[in-house]
Amino acid sequence: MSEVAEMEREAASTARPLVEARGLTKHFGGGGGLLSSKSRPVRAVEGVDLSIAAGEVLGVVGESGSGKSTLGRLVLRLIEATEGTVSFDGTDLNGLSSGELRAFRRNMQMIFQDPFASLNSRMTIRDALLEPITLHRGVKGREAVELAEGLMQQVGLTAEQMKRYPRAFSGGQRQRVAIARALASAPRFIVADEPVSALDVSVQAEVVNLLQRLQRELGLSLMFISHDLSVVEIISDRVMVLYLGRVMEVAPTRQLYQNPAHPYTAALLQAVPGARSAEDRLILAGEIPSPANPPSGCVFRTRCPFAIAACAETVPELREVAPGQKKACIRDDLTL
Amino acid sequence: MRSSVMPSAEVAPAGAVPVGTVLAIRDLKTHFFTDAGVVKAVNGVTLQVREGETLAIVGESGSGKSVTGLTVMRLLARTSARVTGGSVTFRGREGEAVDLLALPEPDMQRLRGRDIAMIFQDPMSSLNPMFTVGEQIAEPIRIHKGHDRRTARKEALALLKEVGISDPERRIDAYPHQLSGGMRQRIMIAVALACEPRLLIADEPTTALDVTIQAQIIALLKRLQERHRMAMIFVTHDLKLVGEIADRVAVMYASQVVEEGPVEDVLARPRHPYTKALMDCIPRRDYGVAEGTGLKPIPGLLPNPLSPPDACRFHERCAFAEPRCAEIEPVLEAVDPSHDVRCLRWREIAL
Repeated sequence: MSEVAEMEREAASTARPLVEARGLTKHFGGGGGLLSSKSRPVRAVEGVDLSIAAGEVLGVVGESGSGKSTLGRLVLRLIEATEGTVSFDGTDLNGLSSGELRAFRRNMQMIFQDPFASLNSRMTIRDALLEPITLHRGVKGREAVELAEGLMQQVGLTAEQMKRYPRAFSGGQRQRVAIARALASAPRFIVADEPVSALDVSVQAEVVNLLQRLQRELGLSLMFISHDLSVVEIISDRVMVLYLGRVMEVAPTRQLYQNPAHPYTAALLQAVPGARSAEDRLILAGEIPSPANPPSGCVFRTRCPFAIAACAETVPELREVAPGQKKACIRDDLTL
Repeated sequence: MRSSVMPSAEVAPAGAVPVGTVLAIRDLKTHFFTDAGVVKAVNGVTLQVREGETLAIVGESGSGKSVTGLTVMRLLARTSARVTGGSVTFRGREGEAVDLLALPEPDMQRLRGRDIAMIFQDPMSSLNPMFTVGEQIAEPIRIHKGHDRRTARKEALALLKEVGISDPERRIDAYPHQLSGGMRQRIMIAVALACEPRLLIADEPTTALDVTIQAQIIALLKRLQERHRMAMIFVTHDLKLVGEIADRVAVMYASQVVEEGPVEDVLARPRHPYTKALMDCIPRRDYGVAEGTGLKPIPGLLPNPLSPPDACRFHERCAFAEPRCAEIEPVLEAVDPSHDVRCLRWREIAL
């Protein structure tokens, strides 16, 4: 990336956020369901604040069970938050009626890991694209077909291929179709949940490049959720690290990868194959605890090699430690 | 499994397999007979792995890497898959050479689990949900070592400790569904290692796991391998992981090995354009150097498995292809005594 481009992107990230969330919390279950006489709620997401500027890519990483997919759905209000607010370009999504929300959805779209699951196998690609074009843009007939053809070309497919059904496409092509469909309503914000995780590396590279090109050309805001830290690094402007539903660290990409401030971030980065020699790698012991029964104080302390008694006492606040870099860790005396 | 093209057990004498080699695969051909035609999933693969050595087989979906492992274990359904050529020679504990493809099924069953074990990506597909993990680890110990239940359980408990299961006294009576994915993978490794096999075939064992758990499992496999001097074949799609775990690597593309050699050589100086192309698809840590993502996807698709070209199978996607690459089928040539490549142009191109 050139210096100028980087400065422009940094300037963009300090502008007024397009998407803003405050105190987002999601608890599942609890409160005495059919089989849960004494069960505690699963605390999937706990008090997350985030903001994404216009044209900015926010990467979200964490292990399975970290709450990253739930967070993506909350931000789009595909599921209702237990607590907290989300606003899009100044509009509070909680304040919208279901009808208003449906109309509002054209601004915000989602791309999933499995494109087969989001495409109807009995619908041709043409129909799959015309549906959102008609619904969200109110365009019909020849004009709608031309828009659909334009979308196909935008994602590197041909207008000719629109006649086919999803099964006629390879995994990478299907993901292209899913991207075209997400773009059909001319959104300004897309949540991509593990969009390349099911693809072979040669195809993954293709789809990552496509997503990045479209994001830049169209000035899209993107929330890129992935367990793959290497892919997140190359596409994101800023990265948020989640653990047990809480933000451990958030920072500009380069800062986070070169100078991680939170022990969990450091451990995640070192676990990437090839990142470190096996000898000086910090290997985390154990596994992510149950979100139904999170540890007291810092939720990471049970696996943290640097935990001290004080870590069990209070929930560490997310505080700024360098420009744009925030961490939720009480220890400032660590060399990571 | 037997076929007329296949050499009989006597034609694979011990002399053909050098001392220290645990498994030698020679010109293996595994074909699937489907309604649409014959898929030559493995087509002339030659590989070997030595005692205490890890050989990684790396490739994308459809490369034939998993079928190679399953053929060695003879776990493919006879109804559709057939070995139409080649040999798989295993050297047993006493140094005897056994042609695995010619072995009667009861003998193969004795060998499987005792001398050669396999682990998979999804532990739930190989663990039985109806039995406790303790029973499943004890089963091969009772069958292959002839121990009674009490001794077998004791050994199972020791194995649970060895593979790093916390609170093993309690977990030994747990059912697979009560454990996390990482723990199930450890259980599967314990089952596989129960009889101290000479060869472990690991097929994408960490692909479904988080990176932190993957790092734990890789560290565990390396430790166990060193302790037991086991040979390992590690099948994976992840080139970065290859650098961590393997001594040698074989890169497969469209049913063939296109490059094979010591890991450091192949990753530092790939000789086959496909190996290089695969490396260029992986995000690297030179952030800020390249414009955009810096990823270079491989154009085009795998050749149709029903009718791959009778030439270089990669030529249609290769940036270095010449007209002759579409006409002549390249053979594996030695770059040096330990490094082979299947490319007509390897001498002239700089990758």
